[in-house]
Amino acid sequence: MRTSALRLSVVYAAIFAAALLALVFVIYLLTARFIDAEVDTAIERDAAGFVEAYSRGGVRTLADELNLRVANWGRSNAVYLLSDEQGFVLAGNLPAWPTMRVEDGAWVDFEILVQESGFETERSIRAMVLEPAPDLRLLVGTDLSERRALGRRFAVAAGVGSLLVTMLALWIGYRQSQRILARVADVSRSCAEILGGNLSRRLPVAGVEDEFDTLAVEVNALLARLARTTEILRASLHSAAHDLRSPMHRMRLRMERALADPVAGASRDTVEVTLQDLDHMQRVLTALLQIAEAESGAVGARPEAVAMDVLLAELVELYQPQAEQQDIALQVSAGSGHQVMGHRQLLAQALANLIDNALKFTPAGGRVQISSGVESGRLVLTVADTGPGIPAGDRVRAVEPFVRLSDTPSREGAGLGLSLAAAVARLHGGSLRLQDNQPGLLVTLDLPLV
Amino acid sequence: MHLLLIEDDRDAAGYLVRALTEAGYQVDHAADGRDGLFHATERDYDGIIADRMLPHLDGLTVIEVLRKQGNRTPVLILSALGSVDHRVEGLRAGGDDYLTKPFALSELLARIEALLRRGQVAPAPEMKLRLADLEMDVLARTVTRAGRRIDLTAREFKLLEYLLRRTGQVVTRTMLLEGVWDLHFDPQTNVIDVHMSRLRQAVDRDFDRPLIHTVRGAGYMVRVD
Repeated sequence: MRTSALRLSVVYAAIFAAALLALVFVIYLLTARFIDAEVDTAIERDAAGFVEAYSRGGVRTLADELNLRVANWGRSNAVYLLSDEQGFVLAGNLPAWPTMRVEDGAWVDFEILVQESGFETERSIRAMVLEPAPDLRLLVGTDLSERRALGRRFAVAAGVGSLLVTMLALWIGYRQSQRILARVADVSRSCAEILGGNLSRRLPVAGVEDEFDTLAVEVNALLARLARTTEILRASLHSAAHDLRSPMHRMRLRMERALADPVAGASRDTVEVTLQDLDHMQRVLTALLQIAEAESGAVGARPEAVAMDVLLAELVELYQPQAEQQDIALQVSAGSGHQVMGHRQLLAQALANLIDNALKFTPAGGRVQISSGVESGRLVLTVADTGPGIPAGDRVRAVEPFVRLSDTPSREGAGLGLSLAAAVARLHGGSLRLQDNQPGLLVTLDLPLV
Repeated sequence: MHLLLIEDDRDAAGYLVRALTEAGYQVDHAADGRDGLFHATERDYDGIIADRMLPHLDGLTVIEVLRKQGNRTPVLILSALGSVDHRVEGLRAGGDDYLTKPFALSELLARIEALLRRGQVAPAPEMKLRLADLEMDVLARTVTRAGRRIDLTAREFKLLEYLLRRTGQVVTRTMLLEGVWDLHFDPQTNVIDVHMSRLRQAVDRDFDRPLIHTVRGAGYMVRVD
């Protein structure tokens, strides 16, 4: 990872440097060509002046003009030579005709040796050779050394500049990749920690809202979902153990007693009570599984439109005779046409639990009032009883999955019923709230409508 | 009546075979899915009781294969998987009824009886039901006993119809909840009993011969004594 990122930044820096050098080279070529053209134009202009001087006053005027130019440095780095056809030098600042390196028509290139502060240095000259008269040969040229030196300086400057820029690019690339690597390392470290068992650990969010942050937020949401499911599993195991131990304990004692004293121990009563305990265990187990299933959202059946008003009416009708038998007034005021996307059996079970719970804890002569209506696009269904209610401190906990109300043994079983109703509500995108009915319990179930 | 029990739990199978034999059925036992499928194709059974999770070939596959072969034998699925989904899966595979373990023996017997009868019922259901002096006209929605009209609520009517169509059979509380209310859960209280006692008030109170009987530890039955 580390090496690949570094390799990537080196490759990018190299590409960048190559592009930069190509650019510099092109600029150099264009500039050199422009300067060459300038040099040639200056030589041509100079030469034209000499030709004009010759036509004005012959060799003498030409030689005078030449000497004047040499003396006054008419043109910087200018090189002149006037000779007859045998090569005898008449004027100019060259000692003799040089050996030409390149001859291209009138244009020539050659090198001369010059004594300069004690050293002999070679100079490149570009020149034009003219014949103002058949017996005269004139050379007009320019010492290119300065221009060459300029070119060298340019090349050095470009090279050093390119090198600096390349190094800068390399450094920035390396730093940038280091920064990204550091964030990847953060994520990887967090993952290792989570894998190591610290399930509450989350990926770091830098707060800069870049792609890394988006990813971290999404992964964190995923982790939270998984943590919740794990917690539900853990809680359901814990709760199952708690709920099943007591009846198992009783059964075990009875069976051991039956072994020790087959006559009294294995009576019909013992067997019947044991069967009741088994039934109780089975109910607890079923409820726990249903809650776990609803909480984890692992209900496979496809949701369908459920007419909640019809379902509510059916369940009230189911419980009405029992309410009458208990001398409890079971009253309903429900709107109509309320449809919820969901699972009919689970919703029925949730409603049944709420009604059953209310009837179970309402004393004779009491009242259970059910109402349903629409509030801001949601179905709000309330079940209000006149029983003992649930203390304020326990209400929020009571609808969390698998929380038992420790201090109220009279509500045993109610915990699971309410937990299941709450789990079903959450599965359907709704919620279950418990409030004080003054006196009694007011349960509010809200669900999103179709 | 000849039944096939496909169940890999030898202990449970032993108890079930004994109980079913005592209830008057002739029972063959297969200990795995392959054996069960073999038995079911070899012989014509009146009913099959199949565990869902079996070695070699699971119960649902056995049923699917049988149904593909055109075998219409009623099948009761036994399973330790009890959610609504599992039930739907079982019925979709071709099962006729689904019972979650653990179950009361009486529940199993009642459901097997219902299943076997269902296999024999004529395709067009009877619209006039009669038991002793009780008459029900399903289309006209009227019930009379000894010529006297009995007023029932819509639900009580449905309840009585369900029972009358199973005259002489044990009907459990969960069967009633499923068949009359279409609810597939354990209500945990005696809601059904309260409904039954009301129905009883209406049907039997003013008459000497009761038609609705409680079957202790199992459920209810309508019959003439």
